[in-house]
Amino acid sequence: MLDRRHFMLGTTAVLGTAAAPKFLRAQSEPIRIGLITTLSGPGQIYGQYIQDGCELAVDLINARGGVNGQPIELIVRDDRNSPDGALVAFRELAGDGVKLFAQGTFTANVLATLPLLEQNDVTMMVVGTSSLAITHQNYTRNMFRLGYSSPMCFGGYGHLMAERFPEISNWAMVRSDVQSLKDITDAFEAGMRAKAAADGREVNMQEPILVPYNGADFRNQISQVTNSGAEGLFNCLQGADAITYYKQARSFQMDKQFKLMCDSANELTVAKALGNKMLDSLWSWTGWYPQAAENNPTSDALLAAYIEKRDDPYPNWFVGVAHDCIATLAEAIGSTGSTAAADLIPAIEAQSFQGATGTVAFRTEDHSFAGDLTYIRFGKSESSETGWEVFESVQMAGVDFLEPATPGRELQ
Amino acid sequence: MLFTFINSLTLGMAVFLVAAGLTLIFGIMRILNFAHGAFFMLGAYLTSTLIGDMPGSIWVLIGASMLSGLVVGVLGLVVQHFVLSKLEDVDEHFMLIATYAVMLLCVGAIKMTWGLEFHSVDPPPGLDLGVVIFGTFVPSFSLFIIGAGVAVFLVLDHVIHCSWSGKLAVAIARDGWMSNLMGVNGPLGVRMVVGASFALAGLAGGLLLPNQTLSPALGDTFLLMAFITIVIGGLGNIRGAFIAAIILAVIDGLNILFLPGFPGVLIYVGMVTCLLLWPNGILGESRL
Repeated sequence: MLDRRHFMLGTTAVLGTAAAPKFLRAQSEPIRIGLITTLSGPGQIYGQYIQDGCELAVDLINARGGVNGQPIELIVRDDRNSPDGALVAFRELAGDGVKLFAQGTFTANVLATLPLLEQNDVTMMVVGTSSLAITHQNYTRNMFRLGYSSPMCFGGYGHLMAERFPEISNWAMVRSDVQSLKDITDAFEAGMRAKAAADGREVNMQEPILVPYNGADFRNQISQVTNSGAEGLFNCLQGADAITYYKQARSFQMDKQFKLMCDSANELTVAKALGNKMLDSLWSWTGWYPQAAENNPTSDALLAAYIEKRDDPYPNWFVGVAHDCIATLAEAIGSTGSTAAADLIPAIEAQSFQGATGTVAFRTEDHSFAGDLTYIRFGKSESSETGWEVFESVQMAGVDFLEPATPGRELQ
Repeated sequence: MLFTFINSLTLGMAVFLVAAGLTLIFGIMRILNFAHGAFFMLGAYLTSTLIGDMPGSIWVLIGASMLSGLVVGVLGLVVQHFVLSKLEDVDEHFMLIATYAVMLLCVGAIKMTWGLEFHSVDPPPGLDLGVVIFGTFVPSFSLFIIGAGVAVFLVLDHVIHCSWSGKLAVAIARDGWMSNLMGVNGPLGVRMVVGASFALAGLAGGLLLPNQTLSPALGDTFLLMAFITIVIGGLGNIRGAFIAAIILAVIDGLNILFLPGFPGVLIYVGMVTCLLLWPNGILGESRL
């Protein structure tokens, strides 16, 4: 039976807890970050990489004691690969009081939530998405894009190839009839022409050869490419299309017919799929290649955690970028002691730190990512167990290739 | 020109391999099976599990594909028993929704079993390079796909139109009630044809495996083209599907030769034209 003494003790404990200063209670409350990504349908594989990267970032930060003593809690929602799905997920989480977000994979889904950020007073990290619209005509200051715009990423790529291989002056390009891939070939061409012109040379960039998106047979287009007379090839196909293209091109011995072959952004996905039937040599851009990241303990820790989780020593670049999105928020919260957008936005604009992908910094005007660019060359290897290996990697400062900032306006 | 035609014919026969089972199940049950692409993909994954990264020979590839087809056929019987047979007397829209649900289940099971990563299986030795025909280089695997398409068509055509079992299936498809009166076991016949339809999907997945990249989106690559093929040829008509596949191949070749800047567009133009000329398909809708 409850006596007066116990009643007084219990009441005092309850009232004491309720009356304690807010900061004392906040120490144990988690910082909630909502992750909206594609976890079903086409694109699920990339959403899975993003989820892995974010979860590992949260695990690593929490293992170090969290942010200012507070653990991070990641709340994951599937955007069902549709703008509507992304909106539903955002409204649910924002309505539940979540003020910090990370979102990727596809531009259309990200564009659906951008107009809601300011009115909900949230801070969002956009993971990986490359569309110019996000930092130009659809810009909102509550968003930071930790992704690589086409002019930066592929303009830099064209510049690098023109710089390292000046003897190759005739290029063929392959892509599907998709606007985002057109942006990529345009940026590669612009970067290459600019560097060649600066060196007093001319390059012949042939009209891109178009192949059906998600096609079943590319042999006719492969024949066109191999008969083009070009010495260099820039292949802009993505995912399964790219791997099928390289497979079907093998009987044409395509890699023997070009002096230089460049893949846009499939990086080691191609090598992992083709194994010992990998092409002799192929360049690719990547957002994160941990084996090339020297003196980067963040990258090393993430790679070790990823290997433990997935038993795969070659994670997709989305893992590193997604990790850095969470790390960016954690850094800003750590320095400001706040999760309010009004405090975080200027903090993120001003901060620069070493993430898994290298230097993480954003251009103040339009919140474009101004980090490092990484390119790798890999190919068939008799001595490697996997049948392929990475031969070399190159890192460049991305800020040198960023397009002009025009927040709120379309880039002309 | 010859090169373009052969490559386009490769695409046409690859699509026919997928479309054959699709038109067969429509012929017997009058359903457009949305799950067909998923079971085609399942056949590809099963074959890759059997043969690894590279089949030792062409016979290993064919044998593994047939075995996968058999497994997928048995799964088709399960689907028929638990799903399709329950919906025989309902509106066809429910059939579409039901097969769509089966597709989602199948794709989900594939993702859980084999994961999301891309995989590649090489052609067997002898089919990985090419041969020269009339001075034109032709990939060997293209010839294999064309041969496989023609062989599957000839076998199906013979079985359906010349064998007793085929004639019984046609009888069941055209008038199940009357064939039951004549002592034919209708439900058993339907089960056999449905099983064969799914088995064809699995077989096609195995045979085309070295031609494609293995991923959970593989089924989508062929399903739309297969639907176009059976619509142009005449729903439920195997001969129509074969002819439509060749027409698609010719249209695709013309597209590449004359409109390279608009890949794949002429196929849709061709489909619309064919439907305007032959609203029920080139050989007409058929019950096998």
